[in-house]
Amino acid sequence: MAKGLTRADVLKKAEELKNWGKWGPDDQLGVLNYITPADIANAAKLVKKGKVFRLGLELDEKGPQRGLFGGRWNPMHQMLATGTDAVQGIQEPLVGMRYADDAINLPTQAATQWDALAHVFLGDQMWNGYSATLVDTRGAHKNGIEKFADKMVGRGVLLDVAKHRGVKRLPDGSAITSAELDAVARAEGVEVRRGDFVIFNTGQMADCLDRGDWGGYAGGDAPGLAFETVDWIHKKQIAGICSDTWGIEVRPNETTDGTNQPWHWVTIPAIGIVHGEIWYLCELVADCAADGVYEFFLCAPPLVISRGTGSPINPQAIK
Amino acid sequence: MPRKYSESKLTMADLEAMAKKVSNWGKWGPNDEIGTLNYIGPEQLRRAGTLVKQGKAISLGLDFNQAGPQTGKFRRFNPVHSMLATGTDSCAGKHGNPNIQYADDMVTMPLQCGTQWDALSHIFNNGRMYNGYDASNVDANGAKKNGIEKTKAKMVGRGVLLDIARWAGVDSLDDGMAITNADLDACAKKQGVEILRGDFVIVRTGHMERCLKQGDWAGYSGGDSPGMAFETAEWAFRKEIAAVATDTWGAEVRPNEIEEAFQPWHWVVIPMMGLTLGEILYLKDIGDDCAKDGVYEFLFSAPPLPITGAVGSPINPIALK
Repeated sequence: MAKGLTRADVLKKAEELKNWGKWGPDDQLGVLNYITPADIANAAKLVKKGKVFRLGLELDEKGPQRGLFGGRWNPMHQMLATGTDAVQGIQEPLVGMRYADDAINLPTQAATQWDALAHVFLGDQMWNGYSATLVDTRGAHKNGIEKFADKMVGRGVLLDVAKHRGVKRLPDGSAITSAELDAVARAEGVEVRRGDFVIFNTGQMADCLDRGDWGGYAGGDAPGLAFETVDWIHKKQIAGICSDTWGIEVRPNETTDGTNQPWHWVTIPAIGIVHGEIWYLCELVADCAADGVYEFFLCAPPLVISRGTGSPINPQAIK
Repeated sequence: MPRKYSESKLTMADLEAMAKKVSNWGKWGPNDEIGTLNYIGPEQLRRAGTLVKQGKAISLGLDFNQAGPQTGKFRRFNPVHSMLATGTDSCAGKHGNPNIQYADDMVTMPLQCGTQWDALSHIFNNGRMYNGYDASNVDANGAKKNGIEKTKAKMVGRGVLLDIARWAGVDSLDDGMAITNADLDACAKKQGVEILRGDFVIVRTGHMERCLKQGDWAGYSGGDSPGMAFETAEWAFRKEIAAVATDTWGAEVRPNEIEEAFQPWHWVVIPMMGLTLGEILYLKDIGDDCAKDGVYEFLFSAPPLPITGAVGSPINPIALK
């Protein structure tokens, strides 16, 4: 689907791909339901080299947030007790105890993260038809991130789009189509299966890190999935879609009437698929290119934040 | 069987002797910052992968919310979860530009307020931390050495549950009861599981479940508690395990066995041995599951948030069987 989409097209597609009710009226997991115990056991068999890759960007003040979207900021890490205090004897009277302690303040989606199914609405509803008003000042009373506490485990597949195109990074505004996703998988000799966590690499984050400048990474223009990939995601019955970009879908958006992040309107609330965004893929990308193995065991547990609409994470890919 | 904390009659001289005995400083070179996590190699990881047979994942994370165990002691508080955008605002037409309808939120938390890893920069001994680094490396900007981010791809391996409470035939060990080396060995033997080099050893006392059941954390955070006897520092050293994690606030028995030292076991295992410590783990589900199928080993994955220079991290450990 080319540029020129309207809000009506987006709403029509959302209606067409809606999975509401598919796993009963009380479901709050969406397409994570596709992952079976056999899938998890088989995914663990992909641990062959005994090598772990972290896919979490370091959390600090050098993160990508610049307030472009939603007033988000980079993590603020503050000390509650330090070694400098300790060596000078300036600590609470804990009979000789010398220690350091600290705290953090961060938007749950400041850096590498999962979106909960409570994150994006379709009209006045969210995943499975729950009213959006169930996300109030106290948090998400339905579809909160805590529902995923033991769910973010399975087979991970890396689709390295940048490598397939033979470029270091895809340019901003460059859309990745369903046909291209299939072509990348074919070239890598990997099959995308039901229940997979599909992770695609655009090279955007690596480029920002190399240049030492995030630019418009968080909320500005970016390479990403074309709107029409909602059909691919729905048809493939994958369990999660993740990338090294801020918002997965291509920006500027393909809509002409100002409908913002149209792909999100369909994926999260209608299909019920979680997004993993701002994933750090540099070392995994290099390893997969070196050994030609693009599948692995993925374990990316969210923090169990009650009623959260997302969670910072440090996903682990194990080969 | 676990004994009372007061039976050991230990002194500061014992602490100093143990510190010397279990020191791993220099063992992995002068620049090492991950300590006993070095015991986990490709072989340990491959073996751990083979333990996933049923395709079952179990979370060992306590929910992060205002009902957590913190009381303000040590200036630690429970997580503060605040909304940045809500569905109620969205339905009231408050999301204009951009016009995506969404919810968003933030959290403020001490890194050790709930289920967490201690980094090796968390505790000092005589002004030094693990591998001999000066404690002054941890200043207002965080830990320049031994920060939690050094472990970002290291918290994966074989996990073994030692369900001491079940082995002892109680729902929860009483406060002040110390788990000895002999207890750890006897429990492992009874469960039919062997402790191997590089293991994450998870010790269930039942303390957290006692608090959850009574609906009152009482002295859970920093008060009296069952836990590891001081002598288990030697056991952990000898077994060459990668980490110890428990369902208590501070892993070791309280009241402490040495009056002159607050948390004396900590003084030895973190700065001297370089042992990774997990605390406030939720072990009811894994305890029930292991009791049911008799399998006490699993693939264990508990990635820390890679917070640059942090001395700890909130986690949601996952056991996979």
